Amino acid sequence: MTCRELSDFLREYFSDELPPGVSTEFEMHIEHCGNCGVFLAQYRETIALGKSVGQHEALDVPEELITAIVQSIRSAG
Amino acid sequence: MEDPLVQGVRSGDPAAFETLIRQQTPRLLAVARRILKTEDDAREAVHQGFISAFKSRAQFEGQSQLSTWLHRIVVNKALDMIRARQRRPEDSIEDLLPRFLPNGSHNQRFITWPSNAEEAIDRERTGAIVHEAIDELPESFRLVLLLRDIEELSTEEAAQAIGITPNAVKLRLHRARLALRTLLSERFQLQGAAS
Repeated sequence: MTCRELSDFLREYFSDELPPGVSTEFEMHIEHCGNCGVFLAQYRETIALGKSVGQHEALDVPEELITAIVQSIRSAG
Repeated sequence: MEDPLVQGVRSGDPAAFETLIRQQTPRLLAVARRILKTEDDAREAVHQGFISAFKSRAQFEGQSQLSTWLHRIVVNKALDMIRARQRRPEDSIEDLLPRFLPNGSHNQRFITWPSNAEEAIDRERTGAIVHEAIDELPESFRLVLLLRDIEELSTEEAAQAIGITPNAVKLRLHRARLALRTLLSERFQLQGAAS
C-alpha cells in the first residue's frame, strides 16, 4: 500500500468501514511509514480540535437582543 | 406529567417564552455566531428563530428537548440566511488536500505538532486558531464540518439541512477535515517557530 492509497482509505479507517483485506495492509503501512504515522496523528487531532471549538466560547448576550425577541413574541401572540 | 415550561411554550404563554428566551439565547447565539460571519446576522438568526419557534409551537411534540428543537430551528435559519446571500463562487479545496509523488508517497515530510497543540499555546489561543482555520475553509466544507463536528447533527440531519445526500456529507466532512489539518499545520508551525 502506498501513502496515496492509505490516504484514499482514511475516511473508511476512521469510520471503521475498512474492507477486511485492506485493514491489514493499512496497519502495516502505518507501522513502517513514519510520515503517514504523523499525518494520521494530525488528522486525528484535527477532528478532536474541531469538535472542541464550541467549548471555550464566550456566551455573552446583549440585553437589547433579549428585549427585542421578547417584544416580537409578545406582539406575535 | 409535562414540564410546566414545555406546557407554557406549547400553549403560547408569553411568560414561558420569555423564560425560554433568557435561558436559551446565550447558547443559540454562540451557535449562530459560529455559522454566520457577522454579529448582526447571528443576532438576526436567533431573533427569527424564536419567532419561527413561537409560530410553530404547536408542532413541538415534546419528543426532543426544547433546547434541541430550538437548536435545529436556529441552525436552519442561519443556513437560510447563507443561501439567501449572493455568494461569489467558492474557492477550490484541492490546494488544501494532501499531494503525492508519482510513486504514491506524500510530497512533503510532516512535522509532528507540539505533543498536544494545547501545550505550546494556551487553550483559549488554540480555540481562536482552530476557529480562524475553520473560517478559511471553502463555505460548503465549512458548513458540513460545523454541522457534524461542532453542532453534532447526524449525517442524515446535516444532509437534510444542507440539501445534499448523506454520502456527500460523509465525503465533504472528510475533505474538510483534511483541509483543516493543512490549515492548522501551517498555524501551529508558525506558532512553534515564534515561541
